[in-house]
Amino acid sequence: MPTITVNKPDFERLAGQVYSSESLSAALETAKAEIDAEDGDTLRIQLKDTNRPDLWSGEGLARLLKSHRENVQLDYSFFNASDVSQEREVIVDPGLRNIRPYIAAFACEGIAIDDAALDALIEAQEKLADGYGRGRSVVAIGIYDASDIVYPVRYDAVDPDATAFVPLEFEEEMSLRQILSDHPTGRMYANLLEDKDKFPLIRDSRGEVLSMPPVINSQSLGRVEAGDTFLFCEATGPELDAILLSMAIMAVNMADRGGRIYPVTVRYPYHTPRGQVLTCPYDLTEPVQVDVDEIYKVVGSHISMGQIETALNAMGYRDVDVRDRIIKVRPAPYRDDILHPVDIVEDVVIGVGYEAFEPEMPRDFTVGKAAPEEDLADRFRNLMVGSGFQEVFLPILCSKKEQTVDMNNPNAKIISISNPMSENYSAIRGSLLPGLLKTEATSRRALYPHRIFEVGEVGVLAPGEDYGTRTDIHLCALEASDEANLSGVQSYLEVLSYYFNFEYTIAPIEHPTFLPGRSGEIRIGERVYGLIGEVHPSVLETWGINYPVSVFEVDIRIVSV
Amino acid sequence: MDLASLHALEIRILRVYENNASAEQSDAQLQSGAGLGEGQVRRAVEWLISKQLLKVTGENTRVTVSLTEVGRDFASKGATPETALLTRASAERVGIQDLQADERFDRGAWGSAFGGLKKDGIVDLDKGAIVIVDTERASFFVDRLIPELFEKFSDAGIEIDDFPGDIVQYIEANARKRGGGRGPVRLDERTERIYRLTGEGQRVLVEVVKANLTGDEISRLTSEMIQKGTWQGASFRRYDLSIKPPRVLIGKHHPYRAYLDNVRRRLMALGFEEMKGSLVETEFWNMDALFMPQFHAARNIHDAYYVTEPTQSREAEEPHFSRVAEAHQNGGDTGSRGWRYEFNPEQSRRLILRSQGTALSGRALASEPNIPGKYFALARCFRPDDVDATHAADFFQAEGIVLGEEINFRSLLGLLKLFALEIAQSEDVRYVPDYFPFTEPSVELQAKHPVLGWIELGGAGLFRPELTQPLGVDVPVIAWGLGVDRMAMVALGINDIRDLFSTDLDLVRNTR
Repeated sequence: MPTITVNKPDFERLAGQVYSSESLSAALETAKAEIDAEDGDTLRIQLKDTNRPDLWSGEGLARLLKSHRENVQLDYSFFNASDVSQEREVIVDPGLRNIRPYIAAFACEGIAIDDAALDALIEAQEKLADGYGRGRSVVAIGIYDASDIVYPVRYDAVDPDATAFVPLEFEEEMSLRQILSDHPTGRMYANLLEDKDKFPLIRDSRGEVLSMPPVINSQSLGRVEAGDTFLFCEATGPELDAILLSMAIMAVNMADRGGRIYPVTVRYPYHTPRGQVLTCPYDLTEPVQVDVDEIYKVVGSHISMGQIETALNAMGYRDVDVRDRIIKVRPAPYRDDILHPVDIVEDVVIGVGYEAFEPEMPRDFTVGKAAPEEDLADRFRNLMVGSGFQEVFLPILCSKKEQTVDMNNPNAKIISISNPMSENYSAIRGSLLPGLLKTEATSRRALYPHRIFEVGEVGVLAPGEDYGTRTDIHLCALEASDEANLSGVQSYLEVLSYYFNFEYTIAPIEHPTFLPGRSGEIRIGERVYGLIGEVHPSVLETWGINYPVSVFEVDIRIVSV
Repeated sequence: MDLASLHALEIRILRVYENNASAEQSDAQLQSGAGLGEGQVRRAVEWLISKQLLKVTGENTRVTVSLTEVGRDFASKGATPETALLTRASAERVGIQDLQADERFDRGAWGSAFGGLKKDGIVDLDKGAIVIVDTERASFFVDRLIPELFEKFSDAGIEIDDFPGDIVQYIEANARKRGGGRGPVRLDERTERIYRLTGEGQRVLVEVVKANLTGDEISRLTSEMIQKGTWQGASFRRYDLSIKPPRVLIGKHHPYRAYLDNVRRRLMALGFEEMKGSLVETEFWNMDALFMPQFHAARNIHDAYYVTEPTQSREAEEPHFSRVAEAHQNGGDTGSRGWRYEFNPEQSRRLILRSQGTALSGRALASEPNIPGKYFALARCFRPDDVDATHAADFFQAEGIVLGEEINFRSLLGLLKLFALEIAQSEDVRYVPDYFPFTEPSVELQAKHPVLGWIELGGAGLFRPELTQPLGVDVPVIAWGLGVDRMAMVALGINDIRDLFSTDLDLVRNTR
């Protein structure tokens, strides 16, 4: 979930309203957002909707709160400027087609950039590029001081060794390849470019470098400071719609701060999904229509046409046209999350307010029942409790070492994790016994004797299965005391054998976890269902257990259901 | 005072005072008076003092005399070397050599006996014969020492004050000093306390006498007594029912698991059928089938655990696979435009540890579910997270689905209200817009806790058509999930989520 930082006075200016913590929390519910932390004027806000990048900024949240409060749609007429801009052009080099093919841009004049506004713009840019743009691989955004840029701007593919400029925060020229190895930001994003023959570079008509997308701006044109009023903004990437949406969001954010948005026209030497000449900001949205009956069906009650219309306006929809039980709308130009009419229905429901709908108790009759294996597991648990054993309940995720080496059984096969956070959670348990030994090791002060058990899921490798693994349910019972021995713990296995009515045999085996001559496989016929034995003192020593321990562990399928 | 609270030993001690309730009795007197051993008296006296029935009124230092091994030898021979020497010397003329021929004592003993008596001026040597010089002191040895000292002892020691002065003098001169010497007698010093009944003690004594309690009441009824009939006419000790025995260790269920059992029972009572599934799941069922696009932020490598071996399932499961892929790419026939990207079948087959319980719901939808139908699972789920007080290595999700022609947003709210009431016992609820990639609309359920205020109980929504239709379901479906870990922490008063799976046996045993 994205988390953004906003400056509260700046946010309140944008939203046109002063909020208390409580009133802001309540208002943010509409945006599926909540205050994560509050420190003076700095708010950290968490956004649950991962599909609404337009809300990942103070401007975006303020916009939704304002339109919802005032029930008015905001006017962003610059999206309708379908005319090709002669004045501001970007020319694309054919060599970019297989490197980073798309670019979109706009300019903004008359915007007041103070420190808070600059922070907010950078925050929006970063959330879009890192979150929505997946670490700049899909979208990278640059903002520049436009007053020195001479059009047309060129988006070129260049030789990374033969081209050089001064990157942001540096004073001397570096070649493009050098930036990837020597500049801290260059190293961070090097993987996005290093395998390319040529690197993308944005320059103005004089050859002055703006940036090397998606990595770094130049120190000259690529610096924006508080006090600047004329900005140029571009996005590059491999997916055209993603960069167009990002530019739409940046443009409305700047417009909300009083900026006048000037379109920029991009000329491509190759075909794009939206033509070879594209003017940005670009409105990606298409009219959507919903049948009112569809709304009634999803909601479960009647909502008046007037209510629907008000709700849609409040949620930022345009061209709301309600007639003949069909609702036609256009989503806001900065939204690209309407996949299906149900998305519109939800906005209607949120716009009306969840509290307006009367909960209705489900009326359908259905039969409740347990999963058969859980039913059986419960019967094992109850017999063990009746036998005087304390149940324990432990994590499934565990240490690989504890399941193997610490059991004196380093070659035991278990399901391990390829991306563990730590050794403590590097596998899933194939046996319950290590968990019970861990309990013993941490319970040395608890009054003896200890009789404990767990019934729970384990994962085992099973090459015959489609997943190569299987999830079983085991019972493990453990007795620790000076008197603990194999026949003692086996007498509890006898309890299970008697009441579940299965006949087992113990086949002696040599197993490294147990004392030689004091362990065996629990079998029915030739099939092995578990193990029983006295734990080897060297294993007890490994775990730091001071009392003799005898155990058995069985698969509960030893009982045929 | 309840007489039943008196132990048999206490009654016997009280009874020593029966003839003179205000008398003082020493430890030794109590022992002999009650016919009890030293340890029994010590215990009973402590109990009586703590009940304020008896008080200590003074202390005596008692010196007792007992025989050493040498002394016991003298007693058995009826003589010491001194008495034997003096007896013979008074009867006959006898020299030191003559004495040393007498084997009752060894040569050294005869020698030192003569030396000692001579030094004390009782005997002397006259031309090789022993002569008695001081007949008066000699007669002490000959007449008194054996009968008045050595022959007095049976087993126990005797108080020094019980001996006459001349014997005491002898004892003090000849006592073995603590641990050393070879003297015939030993002196032991011990402090002894003196007790008197308190006023309350005297009153209790009257009651004890009236109730005819002797301390000899029978404490345990045995099978033998029943079989032989000897219980008849016997008097049984009354119990003190105010004293609690220690709690025994029992077998019992684990508190968190018992909490989950309760949630499970309640869900079944509401008509839900339980779903089970594999801990190892494919990305297909864990995410793709739930209409989470393959580029979704929650599908980052850092948000699920990947299995080392095998890394992929053998095959994609048709027909669902193709239909799900199509819904992702362009919406298929679901009325959606889809996520508009190239669906990667290889990613779909990657094996992970189940990261959300909804994986089970997707499978249930694809397995010809009952319509109307209700399903639930208590599913162990795994996500990479730094483990701390609020993040466990693995956690439970209670979650499930409700399918039916009549399902809609209002019945979703109704179901959540029912859950709050039946599972969290909360009547005060509110609904907040929420987001899940697989539901639309989506709701967060909050319930009012008397202390904590509004807390999140869970989330729910209506499954998107892009999810249900490719899995073969044409009716609306509610998907719901409850944060059972957090609910259990509130119910069990636990602040650290790791304590839900504690390895501390005392904690588990002692949790109510």
